[in-house]
Amino acid sequence: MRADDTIVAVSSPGSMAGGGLRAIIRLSGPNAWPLAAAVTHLPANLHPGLFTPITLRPIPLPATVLLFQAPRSFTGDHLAEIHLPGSPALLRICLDALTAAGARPADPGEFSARAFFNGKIDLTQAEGIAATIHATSSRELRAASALRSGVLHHWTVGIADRLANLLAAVEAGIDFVDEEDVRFIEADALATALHQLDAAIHDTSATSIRVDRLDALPTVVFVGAPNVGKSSLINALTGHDRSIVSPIAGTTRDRLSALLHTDRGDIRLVDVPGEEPATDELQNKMMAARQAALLEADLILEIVDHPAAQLNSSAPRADYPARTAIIRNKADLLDPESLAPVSDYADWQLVSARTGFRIPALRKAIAEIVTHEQPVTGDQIVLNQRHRAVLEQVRSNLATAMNITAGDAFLRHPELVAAELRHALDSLGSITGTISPDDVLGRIFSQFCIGK
Amino acid sequence: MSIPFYDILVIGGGHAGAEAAWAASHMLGDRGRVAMVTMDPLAIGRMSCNPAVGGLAKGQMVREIDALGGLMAHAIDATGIQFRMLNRSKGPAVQSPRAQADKYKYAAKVQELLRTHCPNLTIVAGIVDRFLTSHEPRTTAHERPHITGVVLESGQQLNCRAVVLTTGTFLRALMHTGERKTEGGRVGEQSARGLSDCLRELGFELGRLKTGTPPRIAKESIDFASLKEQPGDNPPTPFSDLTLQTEIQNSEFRIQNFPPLPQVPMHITYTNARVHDLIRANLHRAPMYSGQIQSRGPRYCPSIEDKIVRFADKDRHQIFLEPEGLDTNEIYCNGISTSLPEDVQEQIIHSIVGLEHARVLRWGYAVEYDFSPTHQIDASLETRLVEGLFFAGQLNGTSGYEEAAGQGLIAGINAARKIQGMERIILTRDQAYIGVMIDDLITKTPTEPYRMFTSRAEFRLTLRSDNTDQRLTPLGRQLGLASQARMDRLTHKLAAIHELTTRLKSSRIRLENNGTSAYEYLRRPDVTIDEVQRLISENSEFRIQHSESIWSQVEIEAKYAGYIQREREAAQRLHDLEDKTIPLHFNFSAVPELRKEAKAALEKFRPQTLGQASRLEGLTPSDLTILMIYLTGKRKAAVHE
Repeated sequence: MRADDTIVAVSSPGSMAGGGLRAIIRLSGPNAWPLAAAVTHLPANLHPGLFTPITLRPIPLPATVLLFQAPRSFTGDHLAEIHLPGSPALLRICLDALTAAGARPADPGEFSARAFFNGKIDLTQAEGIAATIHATSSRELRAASALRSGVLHHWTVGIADRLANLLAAVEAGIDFVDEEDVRFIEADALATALHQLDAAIHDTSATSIRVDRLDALPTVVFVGAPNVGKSSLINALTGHDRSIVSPIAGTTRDRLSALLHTDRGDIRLVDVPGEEPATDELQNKMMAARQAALLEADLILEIVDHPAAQLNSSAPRADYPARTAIIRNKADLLDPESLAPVSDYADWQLVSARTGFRIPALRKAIAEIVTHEQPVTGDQIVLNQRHRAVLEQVRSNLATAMNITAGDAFLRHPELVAAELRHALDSLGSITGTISPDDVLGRIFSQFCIGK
Repeated sequence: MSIPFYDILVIGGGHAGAEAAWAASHMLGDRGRVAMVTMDPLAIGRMSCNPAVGGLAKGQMVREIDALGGLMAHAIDATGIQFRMLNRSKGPAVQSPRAQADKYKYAAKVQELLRTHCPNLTIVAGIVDRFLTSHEPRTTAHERPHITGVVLESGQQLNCRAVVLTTGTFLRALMHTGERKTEGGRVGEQSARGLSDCLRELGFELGRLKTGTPPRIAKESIDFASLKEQPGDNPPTPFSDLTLQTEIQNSEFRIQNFPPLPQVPMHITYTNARVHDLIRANLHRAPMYSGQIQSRGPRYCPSIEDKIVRFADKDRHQIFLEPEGLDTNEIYCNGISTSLPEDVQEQIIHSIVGLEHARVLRWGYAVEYDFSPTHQIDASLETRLVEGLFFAGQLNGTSGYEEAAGQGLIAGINAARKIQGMERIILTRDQAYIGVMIDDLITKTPTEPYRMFTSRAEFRLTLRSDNTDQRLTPLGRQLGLASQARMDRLTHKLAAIHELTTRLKSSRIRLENNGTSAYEYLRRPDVTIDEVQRLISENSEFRIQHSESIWSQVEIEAKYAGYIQREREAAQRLHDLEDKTIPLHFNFSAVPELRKEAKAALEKFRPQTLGQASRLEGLTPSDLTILMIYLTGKRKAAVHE
């Protein structure tokens, strides 16, 4: 990528395909102004401002020109905008004239990249703009604008701040042992705070709008131990024998997919292996693929085989990064009378893949859940896949920290809790900015009276 | 009369100067001569503030100095009067040794070590007035002058090839007690004035910092019966790897009956409401509050007046009463550093439990001094303006004996390497606390005296006190600083660790449902060494022959394994950035895409690697990306002058 030349592009969506009455051509770089003057009759003495009406040179039609001076422009470079009638032929002629005069057609996203490199926008906002460029529906466009607005940035800063305060409390107990004012944060208080933080991240992650998934095929991921009947359940739902369903291209051999056709559209069903500690390279890859599949899920179904499971609540047994429901398979093995006590289950959560018992109900429920359009409003958190992967990393650090804190190990190993919290903060730093050790020390000094 | 010549001049005999002289002298051996210029040869190694060495993170640094072959650990092991391992109940990565010293014996020991182990070292009593350089500064763009000698206040000239400047708090030092101001860096000692002016003439920018010290009181006037006692560890743990050494023959640093000095307790008392009222009523007479002192003091070592103002809701503050030695009646009142006038100090002390009739031997005071903002040095501690001139210690805005000593050692090493035409030595952030400190200094100028904390180290689980030898002794040996005895000891230790690890991996432990290797079993957080030893001894063939410290090394490695692996990966990413060097005369201002703030920070600190640049304040990831594009040669402009 270069940043010292002048780039040009049509920046109004759909204009080249003939949509819209007006179109905008944007130029950014050191020669943006003279290049704009090369295709319009701008005054000789160029200065920032709005010029209207200005006649176009190639074809004498009226246009409006805006000149912005670096660094006070969207990209941080000299910038020119030519607002002109939205005719594809006219646009083509003007673009050709501009490139002949020395402008370079911009690469996709290059205007935002310049804005990012010039420090005009942060990474989350840049990603919002990238999403806007690629938006193919009005919902995507609204979500992208929410991403651009910095709501995510604001929320992440809040989470990072809470994490940094917890880290400061743990660090204080390590570095200032002889200070009578510094009380080590109690394991109980720490556990509660970690739990609240984790819940906050989980809630946001699970209910956020996922900008990269809005117009993708709705996806349901099936998780559960081997032999609970994940595959046969998928076969029962799709009506296919799995052996003749070819895996959808792009999925690994560890993530088998099948298509479920419903009257609300197609839904992708994905089967992932159960979670197990990775001990070799192959298992490592499988677990990474599993995590990637879970991050793509709109709905996660945790399959358990009923007779063995003494479950009295429909709450999922693990935290997953999307809406989750438990499905109890093998209802055919069940004594009908024991159905009664399990009260907070919906009908479709108790099925039998073998007999087809309540399979139509499950199919209908899946279709209703995953095709239900989430309303997109401006103040919602919008996440892309990178953000969600970061948040899952943070949650895995918090989970380890909570494990250490649960026993009496915290008193003996506060440095390991600190290591997890530091790692979590570093990960969050890739969404916002990093919190330095100096900042953590500052928090310690402002909370405690330190110094013998 | 001919002008005396020394290869290296060390100016100052504090903790940085002593370590620099020791290192330079050992590294040059019979190939060169070193001189230490000091105001008072009897003040070499003097502890001007609290009589203790070590503490959290600082203890690790003393152990690092020792592993490299430095001086400090030997001096404290010989003169400690109370040893404690801090954080003993917590993980090994955050345990740090600390010791109270007999401060008179400590200074005498430092002087003795320099006298007996550094035959090529000369001590010169005098005050340096100015530097001599090859030419005037800034006569040409890239030819910086190099140091050629110094002139003392007496008019005596000394010629040299390199200088390590360690002036501590003595540059334009001004002591404050209430409204009274006295020139000098320590009570009864002078201030170095000429040097500040000379540094400015050479183009150096100087800043101002403040620190303080509490009153000392007479032991016999304290009512100890009413106070809580704090004893040391029994048995105590020494700082130096060589102190308890028995396997290696002829180690000159072995101490037969460690600790050699009798051990004494400390006592604890507290301030109270009356003390706080007294301070509030007299705040207008405290130099920090009357406006008499403008410079900033350390947040981690606030004066008692600061504590009362900033933490107004606290009704008492802890005071440690620390003996300054065995043969002196001076007691250091740790916790009430103050610059209030003497009459107020007296009332405060007499209002404290146990000190009702205490006699003050020396009043507390604040001291203001010049320091050199650290964008003026590089990672080898050499100054950017004058070749062959190295800065170390409090002059660089740090606080603490250990921080000073760590820098002194590195400056001494690099001065000796420089004059022999050898490459400079830089410790990395994943290698040593000393590396973290110097890297912090060259990427950020301290706004308060810089002190080390374990939380400053991103690689804290790697930078432990128990593995300083593994981290640094091979380097120390390669430099010619660490002795062969040290290397032999390390080789023994590593062999024992390896042997025990192999044995544990191959012996099985029977558990309820199945078995596992003893090593795997030891990795579990809740399993102790004792338990593993017990389970193994049930298996009769295995003899437990390794010392406790070897067992503990194996346990640490087993239990931290996952975390250390994570740190290693992070360290690899760090090294990738550190390997991308920035040419010496790279013109940051000529990179058009860099923001103005980024250019300013880069021009000021002139980082020599992309890693250093990434730690500068005011640089964003996009600035670094741009810099990387230029460095990889994808963009060429007028940046390579």
